Amino acid sequence: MTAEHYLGLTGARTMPTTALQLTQRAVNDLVELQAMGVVYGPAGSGKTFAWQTAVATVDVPVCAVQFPSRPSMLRVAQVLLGRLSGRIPKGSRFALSDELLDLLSERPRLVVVDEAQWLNRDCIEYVRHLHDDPATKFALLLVGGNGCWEVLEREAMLRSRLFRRVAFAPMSADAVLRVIPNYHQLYTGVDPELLLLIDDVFAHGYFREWATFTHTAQHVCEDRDTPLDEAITRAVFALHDGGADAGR
Amino acid sequence: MLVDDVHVVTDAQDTLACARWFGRWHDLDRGRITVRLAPPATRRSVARDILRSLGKRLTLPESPGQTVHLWPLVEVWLAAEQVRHVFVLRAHLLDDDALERLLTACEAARAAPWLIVAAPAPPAEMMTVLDQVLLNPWGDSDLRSRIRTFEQTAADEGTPPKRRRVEEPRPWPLLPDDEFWSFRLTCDELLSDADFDRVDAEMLVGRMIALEWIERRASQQRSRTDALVVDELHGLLAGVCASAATPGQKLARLRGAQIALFLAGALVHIPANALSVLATNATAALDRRATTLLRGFASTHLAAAGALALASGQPPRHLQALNIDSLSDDVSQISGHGRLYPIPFYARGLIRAHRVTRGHQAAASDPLFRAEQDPAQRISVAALQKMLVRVANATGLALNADLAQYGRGADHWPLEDFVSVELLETGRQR
Repeated sequence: MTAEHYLGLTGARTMPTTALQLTQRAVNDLVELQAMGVVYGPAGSGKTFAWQTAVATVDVPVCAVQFPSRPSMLRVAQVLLGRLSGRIPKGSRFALSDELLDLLSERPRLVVVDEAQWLNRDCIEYVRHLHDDPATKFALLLVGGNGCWEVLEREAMLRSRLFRRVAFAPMSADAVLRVIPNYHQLYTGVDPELLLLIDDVFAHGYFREWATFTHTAQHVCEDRDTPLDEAITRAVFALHDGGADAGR
Repeated sequence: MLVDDVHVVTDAQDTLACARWFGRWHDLDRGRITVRLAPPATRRSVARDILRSLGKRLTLPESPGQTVHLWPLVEVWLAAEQVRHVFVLRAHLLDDDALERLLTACEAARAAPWLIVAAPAPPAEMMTVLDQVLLNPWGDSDLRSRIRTFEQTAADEGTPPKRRRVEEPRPWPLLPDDEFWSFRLTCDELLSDADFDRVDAEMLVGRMIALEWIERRASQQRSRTDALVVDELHGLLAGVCASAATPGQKLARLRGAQIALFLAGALVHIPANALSVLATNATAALDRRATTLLRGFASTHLAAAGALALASGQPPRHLQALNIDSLSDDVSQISGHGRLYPIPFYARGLIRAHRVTRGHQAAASDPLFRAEQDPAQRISVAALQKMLVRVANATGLALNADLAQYGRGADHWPLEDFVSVELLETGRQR
């Protein structure tokens, strides 16, 4: 699995932020110990890119799944088994669970559950059941956005089992000035005040918003054949926020 | 069930440490299983969870199209595997019905249930069921006063024994040509510690099988040496080999058996070049790996048929003739076609389970395997053959399902021409 920048943004570099490095370390540790961990933080703060970057370097098969909101245990079993076996699973949850336990016992793996905050208590219990079984050999990484930690923290069965926990947050202004000039060549030599303007009005410290802004600004700069300046910046604001007055 | 037979343990923090600690007590050979309940722990799912912890793989195509009643199987297998402690993790998930059924099954098998709840206290519903179900003849032994925390339990019970290492399919070491009197010493000198331990363990198995056989004869108040009949000895040695997987394992077991027999007054010579003969034996052995595979069957007749086919190496036409009373009381051996075949201790549960099942069918000296369509009748050779093929297909084990695969007939023990037996007190030699 290879990490891709949001919107397939070209020319963007992978920034070794603290959270990204902690995620890499956590994933390595989880795989080594077949343990359970969580990466959480608000949407757009770089979690998905971080775990996708991290899992690209591990030497075990990675099974990444995402469930619909409030799935049933049967649905969890079906999705997991379908992803692991490559076929459409049929049968009762009991039969699927037996198969799942067998498959998860075959070889070491890393299972990533994205949007883990959508799991309800029964499903968390079910995932824990699979992981606790002494025969299974998988590391489990739960990734979640808003409310994820609050959901997981409520469940003692998970709290006591989480071996690694990485929290993502929006970048501070200082971090923006440190990170963004190296994030994309578009920002090389750009006035720090302009970067802060973009962050204040548009990105708010979120990587996803910076990627969105960069994607559009890159095209506008190419069209006008000029480097990024305030006029282009405001044009991008207008494109995204619905009018020429946006961001004023 | 008496109130004292039930253990309730609380784990307020729902810790992995608690799950792991109880997990380390799981040891089927020693009569302990740890059951991990899958949510939501209903009557049916709990039966599956128990069977799974007993090694059953319910995905095996055992009885296509048939509804399997799981709880009777749970009771049979708990009794057959002589389980004495059932540790139930996350017992707070049990609904009332499932808890009652669990207690009934444990009582039937004379196993003590340990209910481990991941909460500061057991749920009120659980205590209500326990109050209703458990007998408390003394009155002063209140279940509530006997609830322990995980920490107390760990302190009281001590460290769980280390889990035995899983057997790895390493090549068997090259063994010396020595006869039994110097075999072990030479192995100790030549082999690495790890390889020596493997050889030593197999020698012990062979020695134990022979000792059991000798003791059984002694208990029948027959002379320890005069009654050692050469033919019976061949049967014993064939049995010692039958449950070993490789020629090297067979030889190590034979050397161990030779020691026990020598001390009982029988000098058995087995040349090391007999290994090449042992290597031609094409069937699998009733070793631990095969036992684990056969244990995957929840149906007792399939597991028992596979185990007996491997323990004896006999073809369907001989297995078909077996009766329930062909088994010794402790299931340590089976007699058939004029021979005694020892059954390794770790595999006895497989056969005991089938005897329990046949016992429930009010069969005392009836055929060990009965016809599926007509339960009053002995199974046909063809049906048994079909059954063994099914077992072989599901497990990948090479079973003696067809007599034709042996040029000299399956009842011929390949070492018979190489082994000489001398009864020391009588001086008779063959």
